[in-house]
Amino acid sequence: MTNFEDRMSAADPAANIPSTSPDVMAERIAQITGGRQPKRWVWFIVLLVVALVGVAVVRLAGDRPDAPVLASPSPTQATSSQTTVQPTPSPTPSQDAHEAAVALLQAAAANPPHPEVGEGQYLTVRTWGTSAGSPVGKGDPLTDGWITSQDVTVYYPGPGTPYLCSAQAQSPLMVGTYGSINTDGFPPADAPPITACVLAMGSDVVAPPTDEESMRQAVTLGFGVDSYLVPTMHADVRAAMLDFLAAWPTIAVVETGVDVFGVAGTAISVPEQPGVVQVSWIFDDSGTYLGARYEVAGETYQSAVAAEVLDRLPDQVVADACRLASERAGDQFSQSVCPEQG
Amino acid sequence: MTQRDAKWFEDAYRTHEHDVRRYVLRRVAPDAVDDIVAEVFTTLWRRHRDAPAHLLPWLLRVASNHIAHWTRTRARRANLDERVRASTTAETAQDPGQMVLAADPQIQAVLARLPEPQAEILRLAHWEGLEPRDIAEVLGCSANTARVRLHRARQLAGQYLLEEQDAQ
Repeated sequence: MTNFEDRMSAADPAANIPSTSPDVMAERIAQITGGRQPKRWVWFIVLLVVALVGVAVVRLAGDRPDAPVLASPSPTQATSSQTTVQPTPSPTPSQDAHEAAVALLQAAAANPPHPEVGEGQYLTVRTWGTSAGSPVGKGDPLTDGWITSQDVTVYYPGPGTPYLCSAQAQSPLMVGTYGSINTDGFPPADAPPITACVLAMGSDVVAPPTDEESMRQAVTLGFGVDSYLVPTMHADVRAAMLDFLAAWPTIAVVETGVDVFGVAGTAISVPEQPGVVQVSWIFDDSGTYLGARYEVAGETYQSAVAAEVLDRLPDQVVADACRLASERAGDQFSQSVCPEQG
Repeated sequence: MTQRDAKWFEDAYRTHEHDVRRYVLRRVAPDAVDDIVAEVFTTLWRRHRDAPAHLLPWLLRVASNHIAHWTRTRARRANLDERVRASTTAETAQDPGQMVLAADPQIQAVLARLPEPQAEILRLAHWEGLEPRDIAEVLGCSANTARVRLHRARQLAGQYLLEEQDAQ
């Protein structure tokens, strides 16, 4: 053994930490195993029922002639290019809401969404979704990984162009293509609006594209589903999300390792070669997250960082989205990636 | 095949908790260790059917994923705090990469100079005591690749250590 190896081994900062006492171990084991492992067939039946209810709810919402429910525009919203949906009362992330999220995701998987937010329109919804970056709910077995009510601002510049999605208390500005708020493009008044934004909020930059064209666009922009977040979801929500993703023929969902999922076919743009073998996260010297790096079939791909993506979007799109984000959530929301307001 | 029930989980927990805890402690701030260890074993409980018989490398890889998650969360929260408050607390200003310090300052300096993947493979070999095959499992590469990387890392670390010694 060399001098280095001897000294390295001796330098272990955790060499002498005491063992956890048997009592504490028993307590922690009980916390983990305490009745939270239902049989799979129970989940299957629950999900089936929830999915059927979800499909019915979504269809009913889509059939309503007066949907969506539009709020009276405020002075800042009263332009022909903006549509604001009055946030529904903020739902507590309860089990009901949790199941509703699953139902909507499953409904979306069964019937891929076609957004009907008009070109150049804004849409603000109050929703909640997953985010590992949120301090909200951390530590609660039920709500962990969930954000309570969020105002999510969506701007749809037009066909073939990614949506811009932003959310308070999240990354400064999430940019991505995704499906829709639900199948008719708006949240039903009586259901938690979740589908697309659970994906958009669950990833810094992306969610599934809406069609082949936006898929191509997303690939061109180098987006990818932020795979690390997926395992932070509840298992059934995750399963529903993966089903949702799998509904897109050009996306291959690949389990990459122990608890990380990669979604080949978006950021990495090689859908014919599913098999993400390595996902790593990139930080700059200040600790700012810059993106993800994927190694696929021996080649390395890197997801675009938000700022770089913004650089590649039309200036007016960025300016509009940033202005709206600032109006909705304040400067802290958009400072880091938005251009300075003139 | 061993039945993977609560008893199996309890045995696995008791067998590996200390190793997982030490692994985590070497890589994150002490206040995050309990949470991450709990996440690791919650993952094991949830995914017990997928876990291999040779469990420790798998657990360390799970821990690695949770640490990446934690690191990113903390960085994001620190950035948000900075923007909101225009100043940071001592906690949020911490750089996760500097939280684990080797007991030997020269070794610490060597690890800091090494590219992170090489520093990590040295930690896995010398602090976790893993063989190249298990290192490969943790890092998600082949055993041969792990062997080569470890060899190169040791060479470079040895060279850096000599430079550190000469400098003093």
